[in-house]
Amino acid sequence: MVEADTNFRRVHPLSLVIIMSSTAVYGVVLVLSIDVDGLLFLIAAGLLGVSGLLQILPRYIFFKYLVSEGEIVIHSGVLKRVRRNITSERIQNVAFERNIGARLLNLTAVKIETAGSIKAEGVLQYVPVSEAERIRTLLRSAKPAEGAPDASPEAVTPDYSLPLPQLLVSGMYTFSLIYFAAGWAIVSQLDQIGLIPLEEVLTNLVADQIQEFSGNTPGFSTLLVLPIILAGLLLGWITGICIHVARYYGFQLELRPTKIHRRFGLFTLRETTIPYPRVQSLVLKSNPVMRLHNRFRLALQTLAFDTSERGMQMAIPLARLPRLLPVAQRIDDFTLPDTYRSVSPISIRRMGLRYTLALGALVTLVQLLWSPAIWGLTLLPTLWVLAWMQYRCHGWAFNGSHLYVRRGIFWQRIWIVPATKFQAIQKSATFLQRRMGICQVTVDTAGASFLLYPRIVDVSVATADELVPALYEAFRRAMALNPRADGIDAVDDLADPAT
Amino acid sequence: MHKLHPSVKSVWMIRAALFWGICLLIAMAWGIFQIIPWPGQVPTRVLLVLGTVITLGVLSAGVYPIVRYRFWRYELRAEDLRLIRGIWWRVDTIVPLRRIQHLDISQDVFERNLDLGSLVVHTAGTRSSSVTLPGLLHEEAARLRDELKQFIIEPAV
Repeated sequence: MVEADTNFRRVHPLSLVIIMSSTAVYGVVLVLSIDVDGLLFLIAAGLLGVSGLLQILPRYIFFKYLVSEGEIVIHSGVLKRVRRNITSERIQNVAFERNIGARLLNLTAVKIETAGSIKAEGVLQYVPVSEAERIRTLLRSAKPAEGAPDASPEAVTPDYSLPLPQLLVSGMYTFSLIYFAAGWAIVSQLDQIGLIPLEEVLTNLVADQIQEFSGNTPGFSTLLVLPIILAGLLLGWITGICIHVARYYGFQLELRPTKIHRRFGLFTLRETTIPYPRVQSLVLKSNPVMRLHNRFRLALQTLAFDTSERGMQMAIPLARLPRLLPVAQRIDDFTLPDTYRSVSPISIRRMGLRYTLALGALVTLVQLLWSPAIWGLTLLPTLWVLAWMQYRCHGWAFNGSHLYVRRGIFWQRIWIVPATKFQAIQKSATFLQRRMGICQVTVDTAGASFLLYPRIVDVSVATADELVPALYEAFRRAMALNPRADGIDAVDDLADPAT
Repeated sequence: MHKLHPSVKSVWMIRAALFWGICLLIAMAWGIFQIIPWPGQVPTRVLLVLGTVITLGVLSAGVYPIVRYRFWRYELRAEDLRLIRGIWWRVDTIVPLRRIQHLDISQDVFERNLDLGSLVVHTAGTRSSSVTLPGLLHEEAARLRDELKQFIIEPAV
């Protein structure tokens, strides 16, 4: 099909302003980090500005798109010209993303996500909101299943929303070592550039208490380590809250007749639509404090692999289980099991052995350079406790239609995988597992993360030999009910939730 | 269950021999540079590195393909393809035929010489996105592909 060149459209010219301003931020950071002043600073800034413009302007000129019913064609590239056709059958999601600049100029980025690609296959940066709506309507009009009349956004009351106080509570449950590391990095950076004389501040703050304990001994500065770590933890926690609030501000979830609609974000407003059949599995996520308060997060594993959400689309950032379950059960009809089956207790021995070997190897290596490393072996009992905790937290259940897998000590995940979404079933065992009579059962689904996926580790071979045929039989039964289902668009168990 | 074609062992052996041959060349070049300052003497570390590379090469090219071959099994059943493989990490995979997205037959230069081919079964799953069945006679690979083709359901996505 050859389209007339005149039909092609360009993104909005004001896009240049948004892209330039966001690039300028990086430029300023770069120029500041070079540590120059006066004329040199101006020259560096000017050169960066010109090179930025030289990169951005040709891309804008050569970027064109054409949307017709059920297809979008994108021409891009300056030196290497790329023409990309994305048909609506392949499109998993058409998402709108609006950062502050785009919101000020009433523009939006349109992200077209397809199955199997790590990032959005087509991105239009930026078009007017009305044009974005036109694109979405045109792309959906060729999809009968998804083109069914949905209630307009204004007419629907959200099935779940997160007011600011609850969002703050939700953020408080967010704790990650990444944020701790970020907090730690910020503290050390501020200390280095002299904005916060860390040691001085801490000495003033806690000197009296430390002196009481240490009696002004030489170990004084060593004792400062504890408050520094606490400061890092606190900053990490606050950073986590801020990031959580910025990401999920104004979160709204609507379960429309044929799709799930989400809208959230403070600085960047995201609006995404997930057709029900695209949901591959549901994941309930919690940490010990959340579980203590019977609170969970609900995430959806979908085909389009969204890297910004680590492969998962957040459906409910925080809710008590009685509030969360009815919403989740409208997405997929499942019943959460009352009890989970444990894996084989031999798992403790295997994990403990693994940790012992790893620690032994590490200590031996470090010992060659630093003799006190031998004390690292005192960690051994802790590692065996960790192995025991891993065993205790790991569980699974299968009720004939869904497989439930629970894993994780701190951040615990419960995968809920419908049999209709199984792509492959795998039983595997390492040499050590074979010697111990245990193995691993994995159910592969589309769009699953490479690191976090539903797998039952260290189940006894006898149990696995019963479970694998049962899983396969459940899959065959589900397929027999829906002979045209390909697992990606299977709609039998995800029928119109409104009915 | 079926075994792979025995000639696949030769393919695996040649590939491993090539890889370890290159490693040996690099190790020898490094060894020469180590010897130059002290002509007539071969430092122990050079002997150690060369010995390790030669031992690993012999194991990878001579022993590993034979053992690997022994553990490879496959079976095309009415509704699924089952593959069992692995020496250290033993894996038993069931790929339901209706999950197949598309099929490929691949042949490298060594396989071409021995008239062998590999059948690559692609699914939408993340970990099983491409399941490779090596060591088939090219004709057999083509026959299997044609047999499996009928299970591909459209539209895939």
